Parts: sequence; C-alpha cells; structure tokens
Amino acid sequence: MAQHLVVVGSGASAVHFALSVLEKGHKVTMIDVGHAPPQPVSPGLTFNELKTKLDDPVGYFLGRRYEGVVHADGDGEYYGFPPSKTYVFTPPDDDIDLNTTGFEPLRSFAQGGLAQTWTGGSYPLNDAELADYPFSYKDLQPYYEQVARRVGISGDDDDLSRFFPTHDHLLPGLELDEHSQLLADTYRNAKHKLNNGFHAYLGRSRIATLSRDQDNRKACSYTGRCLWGCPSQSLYTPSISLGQCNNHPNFTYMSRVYASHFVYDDHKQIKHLVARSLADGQVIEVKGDSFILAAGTLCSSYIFMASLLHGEGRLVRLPGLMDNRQLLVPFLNLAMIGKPFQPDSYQYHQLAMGIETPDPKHYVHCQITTLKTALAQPIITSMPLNLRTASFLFRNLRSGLGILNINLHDTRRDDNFLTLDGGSRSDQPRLAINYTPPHDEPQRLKRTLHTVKKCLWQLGCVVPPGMTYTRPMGASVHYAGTIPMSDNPAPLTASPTCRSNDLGNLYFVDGTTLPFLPAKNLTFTLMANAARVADQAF
Amino acid sequence: MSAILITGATGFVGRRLLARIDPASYDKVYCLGRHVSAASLTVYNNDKFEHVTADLLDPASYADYLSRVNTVVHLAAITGKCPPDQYFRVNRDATDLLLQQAKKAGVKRFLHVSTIAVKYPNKDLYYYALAKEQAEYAVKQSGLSYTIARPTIVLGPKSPIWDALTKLAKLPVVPIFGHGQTRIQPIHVDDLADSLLYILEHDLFNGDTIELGGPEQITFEQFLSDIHRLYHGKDPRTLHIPLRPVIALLSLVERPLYKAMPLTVGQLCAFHNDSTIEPNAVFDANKDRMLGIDQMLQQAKDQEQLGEHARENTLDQQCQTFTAYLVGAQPDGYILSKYRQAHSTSPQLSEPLPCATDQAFITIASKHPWLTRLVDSYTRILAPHYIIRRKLTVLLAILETSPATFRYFDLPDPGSKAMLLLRVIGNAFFFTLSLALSLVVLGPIHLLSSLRSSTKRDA
Repeated sequence: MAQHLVVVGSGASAVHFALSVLEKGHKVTMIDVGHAPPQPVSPGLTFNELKTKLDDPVGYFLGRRYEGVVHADGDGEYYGFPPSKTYVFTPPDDDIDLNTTGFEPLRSFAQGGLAQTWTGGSYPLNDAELADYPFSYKDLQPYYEQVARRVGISGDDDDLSRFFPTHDHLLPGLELDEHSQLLADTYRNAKHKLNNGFHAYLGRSRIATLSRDQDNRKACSYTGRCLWGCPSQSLYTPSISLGQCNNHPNFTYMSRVYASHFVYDDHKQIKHLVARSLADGQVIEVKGDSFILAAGTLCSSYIFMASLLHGEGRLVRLPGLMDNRQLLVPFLNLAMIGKPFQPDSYQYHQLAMGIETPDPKHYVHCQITTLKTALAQPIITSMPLNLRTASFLFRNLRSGLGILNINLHDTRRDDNFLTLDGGSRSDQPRLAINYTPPHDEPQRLKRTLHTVKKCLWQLGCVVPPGMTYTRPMGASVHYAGTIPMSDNPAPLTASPTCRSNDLGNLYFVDGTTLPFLPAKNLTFTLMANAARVADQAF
Repeated sequence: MSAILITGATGFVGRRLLARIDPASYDKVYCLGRHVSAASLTVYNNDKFEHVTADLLDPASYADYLSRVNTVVHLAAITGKCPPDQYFRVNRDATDLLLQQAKKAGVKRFLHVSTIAVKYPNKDLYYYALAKEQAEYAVKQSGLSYTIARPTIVLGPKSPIWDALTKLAKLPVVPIFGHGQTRIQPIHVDDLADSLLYILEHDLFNGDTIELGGPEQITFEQFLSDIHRLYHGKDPRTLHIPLRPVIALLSLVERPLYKAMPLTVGQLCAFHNDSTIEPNAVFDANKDRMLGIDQMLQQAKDQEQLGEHARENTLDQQCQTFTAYLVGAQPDGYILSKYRQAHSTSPQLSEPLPCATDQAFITIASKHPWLTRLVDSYTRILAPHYIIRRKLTVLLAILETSPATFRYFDLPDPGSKAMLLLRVIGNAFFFTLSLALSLVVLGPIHLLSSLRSSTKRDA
C-alpha cells in the first residue's frame, strides 16, 4: 500500500531514497532548508577563459569579500574555498548552537547537501569492510549498481579492484591528464616493488563524473572548472536527483523549512514533525505515515535526541561518532618539472592508491589529485620563502605538483559521542560533540606517512619537508555511527533496514546507522544503502 | 537578473554599498549623482556600473533610467548644515518626485534610507527629521513594494556626524547637553551597507520599517568620553549644560548663522532622545560581524589622520610597488580598483589594525620593490601574522586571477632543466641575501618597537 513518507534533508541519501520510493508508488514530502545553488557562470568557458572573458574575474574567483583568499595564518588547507560554493555551508537564521570538543564539524543546509561540494569518489565497500553490517556485499551490490546507473560512475577494472568490487554500470575512465598518465605509466614499471614492498596498489579512481553522455547530462568537456563548480552537470551532485524528484507528481519539496523534532504517541509512533518556516517564522506540523531522517549524521542525531527530550524528557547520549582522519601530502613529480601546466583537463583525483593492511578492514585509501586549476595563492603563501621566490618556484613546478589525500578508517568508540546540553538558549538545546582520536593514532599516522612517502618516491615524486598537513577531525565530512544498525534490537540503535528501535515509524538513511567507517569515501555507500532501505522497508 | 538604480551612489553610504554589490547579480547598476568627480569614479569598478548625472528635483534628468530597472535604492539626502527649507526640498520633495516617477515606470521594489530621528517624539525644530518623516509617509503611500531603513548614528570615513562630535569631544572640558544618559547605538558605514545589501539580496520588501544600528549601545556621555580618551589618553572633565535653553537660543540664530554653528539644533535633539533600535531580522543576521564601538572610534581616528583621499593614494602606491615586486609589471586600472576594493570589503584587511611595527613595515615596503622584498622575506619568517602579509597575499590572489597578469603564474620560464637549475640557485641566493639583509635592517626596528610597546604595557 502506498505510504506518505516525510523525508528530512535533500542530500545524497535523501534524494536516492526518494527516487526509489517514488518509483515504487509512494508519496514523498521532503523537508529542507534548501539554500539554492547559483546558476553556473558562462558554462562554455574554460578555466583560463574565465579569467580573460568575465567582467570581474577577481570577483568570481575570490568573492566579494575576498573570502576565497587563504591567508598563511589560516587553517592550513591547500585549496581556497570557491565563493560560488559558500551557499553549501551557509547556516540558516537561528540555527542551533554547537559545543564541540576535538571535532570541527561541517553541516550543510543546501539543496543537495554536503555532496554539492564533493569530489565524486565512489567506492563500494567489500565484504571485509561490511563485516560489522547486518548484510554482505552481495546484498548491497544491486543497490550500488542502481545508484551507479543513476549517477554515472567512471573507472576501470584494474589493480584497485582487489579493494573495490567491480559492479555493473561502470563507465569507461575519463581522459587522464599528462601528469596522471605519467604516474600511471611509472606505476606499471614500479608495480612489483610497490605491490610487494609496500602492499600498495595504484589504479583509476571511481568517480561520479560522466565519460559519455547519459540521460540529459553531457560527458565531461574538460573545461578545468571542477573545483569551481562543474558547469555542465557532468560531475554528479544530489541537486540533479532533486530536480528529477521535483518532476515526479507524488513528490512535494518544502524548502526554507527547518526541522526541529518529532512528536510521538504513547506507542512510540510519530504523529508529526515539528518544523519552523524560515520565511515567516511560523511553526508548522508535517504529518505522514513514516518519517525518514536523511539530514546528515549530526543533524539527524540532533532531531532524534531533541524528539526524545521533548517527548519524554529523556536526555540521551549517542556514542560511536566516526569520521575519517585525513592527511594532505603535497608532492612534486620530478619528471614534470619545467613542463607547461595543463588547465583544460579533469581536475579532481583521477588516480587512487590503496595500501593493503594485515586486517583488510584497516585498508588505507589515498586519492591523488594532480593539482592544476586550484588557486596558486594558497600554495605559494604556504612555502617558507618570500612570495617572489615562491612564485618563481611555483610556476616552474606547477605541472609537477600534486596532493595525495590519505584517508584512514574509524571505529565506533564510547568516548566519541553526541548529546544535548543547555547552552545559553532556552528555546532549543545545544548539540554537544565530543571526539578523541584513538590512542594509537599518532603511530598509525606516522607509519602510513612513512609508507606513502616511499611509494611516492618509487613513482618519481618527492614530498617537500614540512608541508604535510593533518586535517582536523570533522574536516573529511564523513560522519557516521551514532545509531548503528544491527540484528540486536537494543535502544538507540536501528534495525537492519535502518528503522529506529525507539520510534516505530522512524528510519535513518544517512551515515547515522553505519556501524563501521572504512577509509573509503562513504557517499556512494550512503546512496546505495538509502536505495536498499527504500526497497526493503517500503 | 535585473537592473537597479541607486541615488546618492557616490555619497558616504553609497560608495560603501557599491563596493559590495556583486555585478553578477545585476544586468546594470545605475548610479545617480548630481555630478561625477574623478574620485567618485573609482567606486565604479565594473562595466555594469553606469554613472547617471541627474538632479533629483528634475525628474526629466533620470526618468528614462527608472523604466530600465525594477529596484530603486534611495540614499540621496541632505544631512549636514543647511537652511531648513533645503531639507524639505531635497529630502521630502525630491523623494516624492522620485516615487511618482518610479511608480509611473513600473519599478517593483523601493528601498528608502531614512533616519532613526524620525521616531524621536519631539522634532519640532529638527527639520531634517521632519522632512524625512514626511518622505517616509510618501513612501508608504506610494503603492510600491517598499522597505524603509532607519540607520542610527553612522560612523566611518568621512562620516558627517564624526566631525561635529569630535570637535566637542576634543575640547579640554567636554560639554554634555542635558543629562548625557541618552542612549545611542552607532553603526559603521560598512555594516550599514551590508545590512542594506542583505535587504536587497533577501528580497525583504514587505512594507516594513527596519531600524539599523551597531552591535553595542552606549550613553552619549560615555561615547564623548571615549572619543576624548582616544585623542588625549585620559578621561575628560565634563560640563553638563541644560539642553532646552540652548535649543531655544540656537533656534533663534540658526537660520542666519547655520554655517557657523558646530551643531544644528536638530543634531542637539539627539542629546535628549534615545537613538537605539528595535531588534529585527536584518540586525540579527548581521550583528555578529559588525564593528564594535571601540573599533569604530579607533578606525575613524586613524582614517581622519590619514585622510580618505590620501588613503586611496597610499593604497595605489602600495599596489604599484607590490605588483612590481611580485610580477615585475605595473598594475592596470582593474588591479588597482580590486586592491582598493579588497581594503574596503575584506574583513581580513580591516582588522585587527596594524601595530606600530607592522605599520612601519607597510610604509617601508611601499617605497620600492626591493624594500618590499626585504619586508616580505623578514615577515614570512619572523612576523607571519602581520597585516603586510595579508596585503601581499590578497594582491597575489588578485594578480593570479586578473586578465593582465594571470599567465605569470602559469608558464614555466623558458630554457632547459640545467638553466632552470641555475635559476633556482640564483633565486635561492637572492632569497638568502634578502633575508640576511632584512634581519640587519628590519630586525632592530622590530626589536625596538617590541621593547617600546612592552615598556608601555608595563607602565
């Protein structure tokens, strides 16, 4: 029987859940703050043409308040954040307060959520990584394939397939830029040493970017504008699927609405969602048969905890918050020195490196970005030289520069948790986030970095001293694990179909329910899991 | 996309608003003014900004432009000293004419910038406020979708009220008219411009009257004392003067002697009426990034000393010298305008204010590209948080995204790898040399300045 499902959030999980249940004939109301993305500027222009043909190129690249400039006393990142994407992280008026310890959270209130700024890494988990999940790869595979068909994932069946199971609907890889091609060629020669000496394997990234036309989207046209916002929708973002949902007669999108909490009856069945209209401040009630939280782990957990607090005065603590620790390792490919840099090419990671570990769950995942059309300024100003000398070095080394982004797995631990606390406001509690890295993390980071540097050396690259950057927890935006799914129906957990064990008609389809966080980017798995829940629970 | 017309665009608030408007948001921005000066032209940093020479009392001079826009921001007003009838001609009659023409032309949205003084209970002798009140009435009756913004005391470079208040506050004995406990809530002109932009960008045209003030309230007496302390380093002696007799006396002589009077009778009214705002959504959304009173006063004093025009010249000189150092070329008009714009819109360049050593380094670096190199080398290693570094960083980002200079960062130097190696050695030598030289030349300045400030702190 067709149900009326109320979905909170419009990110990657939300839209794929919605698409799947709409296909099954259910009715969906999506609640979202929904900051809208700006229209792409001059879609036909390449990266360098933007500088010569726009009326105000500085305004485009740096923003009206020059917020795209990265100062040396800033946060240590190597990319200035494009002003055209600031809408993704803009909080709504009267947002909740946060009280964070050891964690620098990012949340999005944009149409499409955080994945509006992702770099497209789409890697299926394997059976070892799914060991703590109440299902196996075989159970999830059809949904990976369904999502791959929808979003378009390009990649290859290569040495990395030992870590990423190969699934259907994999498009051919994109054209490699000269630097990535050189790394791939060097790997072929150094393969034996890397595989046997360091258990390291190199291959094509799996990326949600079209290498050929699909549906109404065009294949990547290599304008070099990925970082600045793909002007042709070749790089998949959830707002594309939101557009498809909006074309469906059973879909209602309520934007500029801020979800607060659920109201439920004595049988723990939710009666309605309480939300606030951002247009006029009015409190509204949204009714439905079942309610789906897909607002991202932090916001979904907050709404869930606020509901228990309102409903029964229960203040709960949700342990097990996870996030991938990331290290940014800039490197220089010596064979590329002095060559012209190639702006008209795909910009995000084209290659990935996997490092096998004795326990396959602890696999280390690295994405290799052969840095091209990011702003030069953050890199130049981070060099320990005066700007004139640093600029000289940069322009001569530009084509050989790259960044390797190391991702490490995380596990659920009791001392990493979310809860609510008082704060200064009486109308809504504060979200408290506490995170402490595992005690052996420094050794893990040191060991991994040591291996990665040696692997890069084998690939003809050197790592400049003092420029490796350990990103703070929270920076990877891969949050998960606060209401884990399992076969055990314990309170504050979820069933294998991600149904809450506390409130009968509540489901979580974002990272909230993941019981383990592998090193691989989790967005593809979130989308597949959302499609799985849609299929199995409704 | 749409077009917008701004009256008073080259004025005190208008210039700051224009610096913030994103040209990509509009097809055209028409900027109305009675005349165009070379200095005012510098605010137009984009082809989409078009200056329109017009007189608001002569509708024929601007009516045609109204038909091309759907939004009008009405900033033009007389605020300083003038005969009373002039207030009514410019602030009321001209507004009335503008509204009539806007309605005829089909303008959709009208943002009228008024004054907090409109809500004073008694403004019989405050002609400026009376004229503004009548203008507000005309806006409300116009039938257009409108918002009325009522700023409080607005401070910033060339603030009209700043001159009058500092004249009073700098006196050895500061006259306080009335009890001095009247509360004010000054707002920085940049924060006011941000708030106006917020209204435009969020399409807040629901017929509301929105009061706009800064993040802090203060009594008039405390405010004047703070200004006195800023200039003289000590608390002032104050003299309380009964307000009503002064107003009565001045009102008799205002008409013939208004030019010679330090304050108008109307401005004195502010001494016995609270100028604070009712909280509203626009204030709530912007208050966290507004400048506090201390920051505003310090900045106003600094800019007063420097002079705004001199400041722009200084910025141009910095831009020229720094550009010559960074890319070995002279900046074009676009780069100069973006460097200036960055100083008025980027929070990174506006606060904190540079310390004495930092200011000295900025001055030294502006003199010659070789001195820039020394300062850059020294601060990169020993003073990475100085404002001089932020200036260089912003300019570097401007240069790499500007049409004339971006290729400097793209193209490797011609020649073989051996040649490149020689160049690397040469550059490393020059860097080491400039660092060593900077330690000798700038190190003592840095050290002396640090010692002096720590002695001051101890004292």
